[in-house]
Amino acid sequence: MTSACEASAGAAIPGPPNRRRNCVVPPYMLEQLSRHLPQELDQQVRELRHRGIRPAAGITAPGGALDRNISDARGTKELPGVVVRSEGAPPVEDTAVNEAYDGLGSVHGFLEEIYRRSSLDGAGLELRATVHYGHRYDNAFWDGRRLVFGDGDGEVLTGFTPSLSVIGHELAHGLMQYASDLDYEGQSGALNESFADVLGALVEQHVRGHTVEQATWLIGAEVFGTGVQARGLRSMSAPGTAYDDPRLGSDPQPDHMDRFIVTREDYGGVHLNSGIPNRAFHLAAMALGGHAWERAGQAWFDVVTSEDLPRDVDFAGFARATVTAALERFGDEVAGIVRQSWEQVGVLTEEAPAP
Amino acid sequence: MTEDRGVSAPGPAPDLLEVTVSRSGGVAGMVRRWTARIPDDGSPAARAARQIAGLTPIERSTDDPQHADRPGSGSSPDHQMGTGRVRDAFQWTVTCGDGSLRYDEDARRRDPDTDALIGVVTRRP
Repeated sequence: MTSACEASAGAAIPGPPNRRRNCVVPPYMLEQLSRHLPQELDQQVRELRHRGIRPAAGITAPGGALDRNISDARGTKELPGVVVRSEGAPPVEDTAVNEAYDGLGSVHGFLEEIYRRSSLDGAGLELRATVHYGHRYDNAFWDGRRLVFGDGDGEVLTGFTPSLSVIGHELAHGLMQYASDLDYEGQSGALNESFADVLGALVEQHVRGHTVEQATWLIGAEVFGTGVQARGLRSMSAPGTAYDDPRLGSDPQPDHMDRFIVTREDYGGVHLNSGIPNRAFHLAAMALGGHAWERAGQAWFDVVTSEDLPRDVDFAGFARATVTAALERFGDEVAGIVRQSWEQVGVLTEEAPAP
Repeated sequence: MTEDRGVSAPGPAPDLLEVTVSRSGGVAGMVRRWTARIPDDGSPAARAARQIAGLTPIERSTDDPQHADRPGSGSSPDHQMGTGRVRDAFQWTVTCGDGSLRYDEDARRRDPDTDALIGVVTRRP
């Protein structure tokens, strides 16, 4: 059935009832795809899928109703800027525009295919981004409505659009805004940051077809200039080891509750203490094996999109919620592994054996 | 001897105000610090520095910036922290003398004097 559907790549809508194709991709999606996905690219993605290989970076996986809109701030801090590429339009000369466009597509495809979520809000929200924000602006952020990319300072940070994990990170903030909307300070803020890293890593792993062993577990490996002593902005497998450079200092992230950082900067250290839940996720994923999005990712995703999660949840509350989600989805064994991962980073304490 | 009216005799040099700007947050989550001495010359940057140091009263709304660690002022409630929709924005802490104030990006933008001060201190050489 799938092959019949795949053979119809680029075709519109099923034929007469007696010859109706049973497609994995629903007709409305096919229609949307036939409108928006260039036939050559569509065929490329399907070829790779057929061979069991995930599309390489830069190739947008087919998803649901995908609607992207990229603007250019042209070096100003005026948002949204001028629209330079909308959904279905061909690539432009500006690499940053195309990288943003492709990255948004990859995240959308991942959410649709893996977690059956239609865009950030679950209802097909248009994905918007602005590139070339500010002058040598060394940051990327989610402003509540769109993803905004600076170009970096040109020396230490050379731009963010080449990094799919950064694009996934920022869009995860958008997703959380429409889901659990965790308070952006203290422990709940660090969990907000951590889930953004988790989703960024998962999207990248999915596009590359990486298993947990093959994955780099780095966020933003592509954003540094030549000669900077950095593997990435953060390491999920070994928080505190991503960089050590005279211009940047050394990576300050803790990897255990014993080293939790109390600070009033960075909204209470949200980008610092996220190292602790990041490592818990990595430990769970490694122990479960396979692809991280399948079980660990699913449990985390279930929690973040749950209506029961308090906005000010702390690490321990979030950890217990992931154990419950793992139990409900996958049973005792997976739940036990998830619990152990949180124990290893000092968030949950080991349960006393029954008397 | 003729007087060159285009060039005035130099007056006394203005005092200098030492200002430290700390930037945290951003998607990178790295903390960067800059320190500079700026002339107390009545410019917007100098006005902001004097207000932060407590040498002149703060004229702007006290809801915007947060007292970071000003001695005697206690710690103000962080009721504004994290309430906006922006994620991965920078957070700025500006210190001059015994005073210190914290700004998010929006608060910085709404305060032209502080925006100028941060710009002067973090300007590349």
